[in-house]
Amino acid sequence: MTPLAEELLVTFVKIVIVVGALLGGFSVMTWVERRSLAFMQYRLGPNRTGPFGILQPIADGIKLFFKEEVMPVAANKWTFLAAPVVAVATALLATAVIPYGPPFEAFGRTLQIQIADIEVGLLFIFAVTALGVYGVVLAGWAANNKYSLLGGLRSSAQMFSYELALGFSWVTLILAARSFRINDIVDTQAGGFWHWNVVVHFPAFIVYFLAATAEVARIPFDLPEGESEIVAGFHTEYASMRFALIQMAEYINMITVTVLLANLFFGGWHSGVPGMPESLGGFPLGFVWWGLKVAFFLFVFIWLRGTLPRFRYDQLMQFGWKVLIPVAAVWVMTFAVLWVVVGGGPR
Amino acid sequence: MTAADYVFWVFATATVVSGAVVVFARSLIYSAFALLFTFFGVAGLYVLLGADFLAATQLLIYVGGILVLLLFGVMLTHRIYDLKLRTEKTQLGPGLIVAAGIFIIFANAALITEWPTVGREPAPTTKEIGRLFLGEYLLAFEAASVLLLVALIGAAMIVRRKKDA
Amino acid sequence: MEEVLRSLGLFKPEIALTAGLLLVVIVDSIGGAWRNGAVRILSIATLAVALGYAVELQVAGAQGAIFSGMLTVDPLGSFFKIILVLASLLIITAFTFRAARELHGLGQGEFHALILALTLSNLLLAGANDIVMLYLALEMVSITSYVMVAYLKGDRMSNEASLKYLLFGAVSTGGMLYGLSLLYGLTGTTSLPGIREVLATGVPGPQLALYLATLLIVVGFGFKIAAVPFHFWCPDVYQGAATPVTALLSVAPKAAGFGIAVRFFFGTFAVPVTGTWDLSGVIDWQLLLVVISVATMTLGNVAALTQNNMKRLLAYSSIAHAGYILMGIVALSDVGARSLLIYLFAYLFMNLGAFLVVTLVHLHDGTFDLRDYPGLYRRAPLLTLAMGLFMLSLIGIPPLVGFLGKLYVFGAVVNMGSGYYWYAAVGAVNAAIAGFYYLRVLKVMFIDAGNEDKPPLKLAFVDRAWLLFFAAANLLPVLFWSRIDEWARGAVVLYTGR
Repeated sequence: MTPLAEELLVTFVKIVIVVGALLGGFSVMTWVERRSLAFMQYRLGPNRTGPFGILQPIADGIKLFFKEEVMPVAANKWTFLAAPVVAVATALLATAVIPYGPPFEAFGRTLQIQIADIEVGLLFIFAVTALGVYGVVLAGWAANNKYSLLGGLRSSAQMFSYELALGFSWVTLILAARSFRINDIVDTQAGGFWHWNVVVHFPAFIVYFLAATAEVARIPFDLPEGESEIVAGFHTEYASMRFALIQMAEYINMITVTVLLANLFFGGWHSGVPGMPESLGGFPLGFVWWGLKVAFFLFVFIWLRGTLPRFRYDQLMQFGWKVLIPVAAVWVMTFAVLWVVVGGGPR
Repeated sequence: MTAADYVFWVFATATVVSGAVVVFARSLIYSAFALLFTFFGVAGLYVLLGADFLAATQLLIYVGGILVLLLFGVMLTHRIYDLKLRTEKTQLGPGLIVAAGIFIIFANAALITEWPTVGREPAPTTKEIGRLFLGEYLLAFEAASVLLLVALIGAAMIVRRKKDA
Repeated sequence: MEEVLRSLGLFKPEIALTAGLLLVVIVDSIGGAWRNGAVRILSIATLAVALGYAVELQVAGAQGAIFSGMLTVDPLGSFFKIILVLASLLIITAFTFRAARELHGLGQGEFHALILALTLSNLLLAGANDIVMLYLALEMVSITSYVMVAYLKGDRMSNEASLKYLLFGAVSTGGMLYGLSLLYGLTGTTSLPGIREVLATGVPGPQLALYLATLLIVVGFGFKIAAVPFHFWCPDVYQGAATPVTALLSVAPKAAGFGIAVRFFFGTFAVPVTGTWDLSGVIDWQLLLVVISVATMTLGNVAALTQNNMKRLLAYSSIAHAGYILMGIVALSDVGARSLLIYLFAYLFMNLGAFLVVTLVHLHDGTFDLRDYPGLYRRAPLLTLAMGLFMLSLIGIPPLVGFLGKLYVFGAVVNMGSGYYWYAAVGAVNAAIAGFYYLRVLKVMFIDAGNEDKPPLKLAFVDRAWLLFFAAANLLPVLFWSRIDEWARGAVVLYTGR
């Protein structure tokens, strides 16, 4: 095989793995979410299909697949059809530059489950999360339904506002790592857990966590789908597989921000315990630490959903613009000054 | 043609065709959607030229920011998204002639000029841009922030109702 | 770092303005009943300090490129800085919110912040030494101007004017940006002196791209100085904007546009070997500029003949004056540059004076229409006499300051040789045409009967004082002429290094 063909093959395999894992993760997540929410509310949740109801996602999939495709008469046909696809596509785009787990040796080369390790990784993620608005806006507009439109507008305004805070929270990490590459940022956190960015950049972590929750429109920031006010928001008119696609996009976004959280703030695949062996019997232990962190924070998102009520819309905007962004901006300034005065500083 | 050439033509065609749709579409909303592809095409061309930072910024600012605002404006403005837009027919002929003339002149200029080129391997640009912003182009960088401040003041001023002033 | 510290010493006017701008924004957002007064005092203080620094630079004859060649400091630039800061200072002090009826009830904080921002961007534009800075400053001037034009909220004329301005501005600066990018492509540098060095040795191959670049750049400058055929925005914008804004726009951005045009033509397209004023022979510059200049002054004057709205009339008059000022550039000589400086200096006082009168009449009578002016002499003698003085000065009647300005530009053109006598003659004919409409204003105010039933205008003391000030500024400079001439002569020094 020529080097180019080999490179293409490797990338293709990576894509298959990542997308497959995400789709699997999506279906498992729906089940986990429903079960854990149920327990938090003293219910049982879906427990009929398979052991512990684990086959529930498959049953859901089959059901959605065979449901009738409904489209409002007054909808804008092509936009209505395109919106879920756009939503999933933009959600998947962001996953391309994220590393899933540590680099490891296999087949005589160093591999990492990361489709593209680009120089401006974080900037790219920032750019494509901005695109996430499109699926929502298109869906909301195309249905020609007032609730949908309101949901779409709410959602885009919300994503727009919190994206700024989200981007701000990364600035100090980029500064400290002197790089936009996610792998570089993860590697600055090697060693003990006190090197983790959650310790060093604690305010940035708070801002990121809140902004990310809002960005993926999870409770308490799920205004776009506030069912007590606007039915189901932008996807009111969607049914069957198109509805499933939109759900999928939302879960993929959630997984993306969680993986980023683990990678950027919690040391990624670094154990946080000095002297911990790199691998056990040839298996890189990094995957274990990484997986545990990701799983934990996915659970935190569900936990939040089971615990918190929803914001009011004006509170949401107030919080985003008047609290989160100023806090993030002040932290950037503070860190920059500290960085120069106390340690490191520009080279 | 090399692979890069093919990619170039794909992006260039996407940019130009969607640009034409922006101009000729009769519904404002279609124009806005077509603009999305124009911006994407341009971002693709930046990538091809090795300007990775610029490409990401293009996506971020234009696709993720300006165009969303545009769509927002179109959707929030009452009745505007059903509005049929058409310039007067009488201006079609002269407009075409002028546009074609300008195109021929500029395309000709681009083709016949002996541009001084610097052969350079594509390299990550982010660090270099950061250095230039805070070095050689420091003043421009700072002036741009004043410009943004003024734009903010202006926007707030225009949006605010008269009685609040 | 050292470069920055060194540069800051030659950057004091701009630093003062930036600091003042930020302070104004902060003070205004703190709120409180006292904020309007505080903002006004702060702005005046800022401009006064900036003026002081600009004069200091001028007196010291400072020269050099600062901020890694982004800006140039030289006596010519300092002269423009003085004019630009002075224009803003006069606007803030003479055209108060009380005197401008259109601005009643509107926020003062933003207004002052915008004026400071406009002044800052004007200074940056007048001193730009790099394409990047040039374009950025041009956009800053434009965007600030758009907002200021739209300042009258809810006023359809104001909004329409702003939108027109924006559309024209976007197209012309877009064209200019294309031209600048071509220039960068041809020369491989963004620095104006660097471009000059490359152009001096000549661009290999076909010259078409260079022609296009220069033409497009001329479009950009033409828009800023409202030269024909890029003047269409001018009357509507001047009419729609609040009068103080109009007065400022008619002087400051125009002067800054001339400042950068001088720098660009003489500093960039010149041949370094044979001297600053010898343009590289890509394009017949003189012919191009002569055509633009003649068209500008003729169209401005002819169109002004039929105007009844005073703001429109003054708008067309300012277009015509841009045509005269262009004569100073056409001359392509030290004499020409000096005449340009003197004309701008004169224009500042006569134009602002005329606009002040228009503002005051509107304050008391609520009209901009010349047909409401009859009988004004009886009702407000001082105001009318002052207006007469400004009109005569705009025509160029000796010994007023406007005459001196015209004398210098016509002199510069005649100096070019007998081939250009016709050009000076066209200028003279134009001055005569201009006489018609300026004198018409006088005739209406002094001779025409009407408005007998209206009471006399009770001008505030401050307004009287300012009218007297402007009248004096039009009358008295002739007494100190040798010193002003010397000042302008000393100011024609361009720094063209990197």
